[in-house]
Amino acid sequence: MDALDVTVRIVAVLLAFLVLPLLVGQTEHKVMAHMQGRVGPMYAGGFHGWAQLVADGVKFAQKEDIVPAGADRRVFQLAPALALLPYLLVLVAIPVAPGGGVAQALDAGIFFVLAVMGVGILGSLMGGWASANKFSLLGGLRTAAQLMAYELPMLLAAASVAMAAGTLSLPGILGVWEWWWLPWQLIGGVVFFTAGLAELQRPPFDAPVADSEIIFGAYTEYTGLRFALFLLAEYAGIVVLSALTAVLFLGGWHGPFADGLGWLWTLLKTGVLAFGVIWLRVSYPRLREDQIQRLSWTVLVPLALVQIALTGVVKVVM
Amino acid sequence: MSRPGRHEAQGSGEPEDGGSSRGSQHRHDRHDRHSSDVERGNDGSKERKVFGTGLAKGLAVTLRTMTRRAVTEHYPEAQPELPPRTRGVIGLFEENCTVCMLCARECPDWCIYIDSHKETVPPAAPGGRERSRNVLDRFAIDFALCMYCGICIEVCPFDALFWSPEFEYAETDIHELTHERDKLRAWMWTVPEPPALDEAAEDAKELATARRTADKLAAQERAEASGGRGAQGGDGPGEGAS
Repeated sequence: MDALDVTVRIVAVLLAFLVLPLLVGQTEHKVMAHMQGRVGPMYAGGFHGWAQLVADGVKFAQKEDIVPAGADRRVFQLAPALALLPYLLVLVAIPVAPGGGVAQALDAGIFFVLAVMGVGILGSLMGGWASANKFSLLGGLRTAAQLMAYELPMLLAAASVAMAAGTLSLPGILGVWEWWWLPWQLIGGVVFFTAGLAELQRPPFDAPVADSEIIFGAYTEYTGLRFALFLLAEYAGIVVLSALTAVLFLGGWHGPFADGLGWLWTLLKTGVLAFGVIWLRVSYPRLREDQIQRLSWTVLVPLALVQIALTGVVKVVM
Repeated sequence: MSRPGRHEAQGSGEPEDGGSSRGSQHRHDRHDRHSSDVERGNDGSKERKVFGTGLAKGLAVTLRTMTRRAVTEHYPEAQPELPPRTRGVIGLFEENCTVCMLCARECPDWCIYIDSHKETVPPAAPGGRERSRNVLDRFAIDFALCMYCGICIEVCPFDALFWSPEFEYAETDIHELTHERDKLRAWMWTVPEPPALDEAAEDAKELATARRTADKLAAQERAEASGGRGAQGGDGPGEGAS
C-alpha cells in the first residue's frame, strides 16, 4: 500500500463523508415534504431547491457561536466534533466493492465499527451535561439510557452475522455471503436496523431530542456551526447505519455484475435503507421514554437472542 | 361515554376483561392510571388484528401521499385559483354612492373615511324649489384596520360597495394601506359578475318591474295601433297583462 493509494482512499472516504449526508438530508427535505403533501424547498439553487442544505450551511456559519455562561466551556465546545468524527472513522471500514474496495480492511471490523459508532453518542452526552441547562441534561440522560438499552440488541444482531460468517472482518463477511442469508438473518437485520435508528435518536425514537417537550435536548444551547455539526452527525449516522445494515444483512456489493458494479449495489442498498429511515420518521409518532425502553428490553433483545439461536442451529446442522 | 365506563371498571375491580370488551376510548382512560394495564390493554386490542397492520397502514398512507401531487400553491409563480366570491378587497362603484354614511357608521373598526359637500341643482320644474344633493369628495378605506367583515357591503342600500377577489395590495408602510377612491374604483372592475340564478328562480325585483313596465307600454302601443284600425281591439291588452 503506497502513499498514493492511501491518499486516494482517504480522499474518497472524505468525499463520501461530505457528500452522502447532505444527499440524505436533501432527500429527507423532499421526501418528507411530499409525504406530507408539500413540495419542500423550491428556491435555493434554482432547481427544486437542490442547494437548500448549502444555503443552510452558509446560514449556520454566519451565526454567532454562543457558549452559555454556566457551561463547561471545553467540553461544550468539543462535543459536536466528538459527535461527528466517529462516523467518519466508521466509513473507513465499510467495504464498498469486491476485491479491496474498502478504505481500510480491518480484521475485527465489526468490533471496530460498533465500538466507534457508540462513541458518537458521547457527543450528545457531553453536550447535554456541559450545557448547564436542565433540558439539555434531560436530553443527555435520555440519550444515555437509550444507548444502554439499544447497544445490546445491536451487538447481538451483529454477532449473529459474525457467527454465520465465521469472521469479524466486514469484507470477510461479504466474501462468504450467500443470497439465502437474507431470510436467515432477517430477524437480526430488523433488530439491527431498529436499534440503530434508536441509537441515532431518529424518530420514532427521538425522545432524547424531542423538540416539543425538551427543546432538542442536548442541543438546546448550541448555535451556529456547532449546531450544524450535530445535525450533520445525525445524517452521517443515517448513512453509516444504512451502509452497515446493507453490508451485514443485505449482502453489500452482492448483486448482478458485482465485479464491475459492486459499488453501485452498495450505494443502492444504502440509499433504499436511508429512504426507509426517512419514511419511518414521517410515518410514526414519537415513542414515550418508557415505551422506548420497553421495546428494547422486552422485544428487541429477545428477538436478537432468537436470531443468534437460529444462526447457531443452522450453523451446526449444516 | 367514557366516564361511566371508567367508574364501572373501578367498582367491579376486574380491569382486564372490562377493558377489552368496551370501546378503545375507555381503555385509553385507564392507561394514565395503571401502567401495567397499558400493556395488557395493548395486547388485548391487538388480539383481533394481525400484529403490525397498524404500522403497515401508517407506512402505506405516507407512501401513497408521496406519489400524489402536492397541494402546495406556487403563489408568486402561479396565481391561485380563487373562488369567485373571495373576499379580497372592497371595490367602490361611486356613481351609486349617495354619501349616506351608513357604511362608515356600521364599520366595526371605523376604517372608512368619507368627505362630501352639498351642491344645489336647479329645480326640476320652472318655479319649483332648488334641490340639493351630496357630492362625494373622498372615500377611503384603511385596509390596515379593515377586518374584512363585509358589513359595509351588506349595509350599502345603493349597491356602491362590492367584494373583489383582488388581494395583491400589500405595502411596505402601514400608512399606505389607506386606499383612496381612485384605487377603490379601479378594484371595482375586478369584481366578478354575480352568480347566475337558479333556472326556476324568480327574476330579480328590478328586472320584474322593468319588464312589467315595458310590457304595459307595448300593450298600450298595440292597443293604440289596433284602435286606429278599428278592428279586433280586445285581444291586445289581454296578452300584455300576462
